Amino acid sequence: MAETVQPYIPGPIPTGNILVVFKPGTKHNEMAKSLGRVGSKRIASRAEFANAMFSVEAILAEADGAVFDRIGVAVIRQEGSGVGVNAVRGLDEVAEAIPEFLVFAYDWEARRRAWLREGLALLADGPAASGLLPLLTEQAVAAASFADDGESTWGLKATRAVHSGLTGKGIRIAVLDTGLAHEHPDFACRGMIAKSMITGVSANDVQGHGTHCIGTAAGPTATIGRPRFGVAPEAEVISYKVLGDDGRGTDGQILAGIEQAIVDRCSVISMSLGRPARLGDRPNAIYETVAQRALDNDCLIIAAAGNESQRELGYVAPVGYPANSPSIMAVAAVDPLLQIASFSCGGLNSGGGEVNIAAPGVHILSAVPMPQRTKRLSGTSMATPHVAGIAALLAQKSKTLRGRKLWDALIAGARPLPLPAQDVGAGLVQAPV
Amino acid sequence: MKDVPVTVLITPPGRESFSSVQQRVEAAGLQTERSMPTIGVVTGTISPARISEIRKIDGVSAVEQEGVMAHPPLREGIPQ
Repeated sequence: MAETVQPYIPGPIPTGNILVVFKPGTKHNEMAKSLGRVGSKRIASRAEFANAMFSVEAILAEADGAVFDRIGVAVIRQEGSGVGVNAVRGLDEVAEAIPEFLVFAYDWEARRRAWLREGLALLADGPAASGLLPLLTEQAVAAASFADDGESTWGLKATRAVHSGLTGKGIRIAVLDTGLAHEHPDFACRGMIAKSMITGVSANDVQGHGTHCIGTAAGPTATIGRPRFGVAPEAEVISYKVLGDDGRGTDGQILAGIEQAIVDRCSVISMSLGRPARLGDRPNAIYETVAQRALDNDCLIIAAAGNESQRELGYVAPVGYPANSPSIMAVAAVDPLLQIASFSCGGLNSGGGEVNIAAPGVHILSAVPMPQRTKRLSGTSMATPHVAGIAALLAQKSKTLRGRKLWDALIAGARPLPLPAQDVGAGLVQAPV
Repeated sequence: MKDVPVTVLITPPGRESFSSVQQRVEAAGLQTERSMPTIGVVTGTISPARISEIRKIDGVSAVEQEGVMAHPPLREGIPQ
């Protein structure tokens, strides 16, 4: 077999900054003010540097960002600030936000020659020689498509939760998030406990993210006129509000939620939260030690891998904190075709930065505060409570499945997918039937 | 200099040794906000100049400035 020549395709290299494009007509002070709302407080403008050589690098060494008001663009520093692309994208004044990449001059002639060599190899030996054909065939076989129907959401079908005779009864799931909308009719009769870890703030969910995650983990079996969206409908959820009504929370609040969940004897902690990591980052020592101590207390922490990838641009971001801890299960998101979601972070860093498992995380219907009642959302935040709910089903099935054994059972039961383990880990989480 | 919020990891966990380590950390300047003996963590505020001092205390395995985690706005087009 002829050796297949792989063309050199330079991958995008992120700078660690975010490029922000504002909507037309946005004034300079509105640009700076809006960036302040996501945590970029010190914003320099071009006007401030009118008589000096303008260098974005120099400005970002001193400030959180720079605004180019004439063209309606800003560059903000992501490193060390915890500011995520998706938070910036959500600002009313912002048209688009993308990671900034290093730009290189392409050697087009070298690339053309490489592609030509690969094309000739394909012609000489057929597609099998390139290694492409088996992959395509596997993908075609596995291209199962799932959809919501009157019975359940697509996520409950893909994970087989809808076919499981188990309900999570007797198992406590801790959901650490923005709280629970206590007036929501889907939870009104369940007697769910909601605790606030934020001094002076009610446990009620105003933002909606927490209620959505709780709905996926343990929403009811039947809702009037709506499909079932809860994986473990009889599990006992305790909501720990660790993020405020603005969706922000501190490490101290999150760690307080973990502490209380262990004291409350929760078997599973679902954490659809995090902050971006960089290539080469190591896990956070505090979260890793805390996760080990949780496992020692028969409590498994499951966390969202993160949403900073833009795979349509060829950019894969590493799994974020705290999911990059070896003792925290990192969850990626797949779509109804069981393809990796474009935003889902990949296992680029070793030593805990791997993706461990995948779950449905695109167009996920679940509960949100009234009057809207339900909403479709996408993200690894939506994938995480699918895994937490299935962990509760496994824990109900056997009293021995706790802590590390529960981790092993989730991994062993996953459905392999014809996708790189770097993206989906062991594969798609599956409910015991 | 203004005090900063920090997270202090105490090892090994155990209520008795935990409280004695916490007392030593407080004596070195930590204003405790939360004490979490089950996971072995204390959070609070301290002068940045004294962080290196509490790192050296026997029984303290890590000290970090407290970070923030944040959700984007809850919209369908924005990954959560």
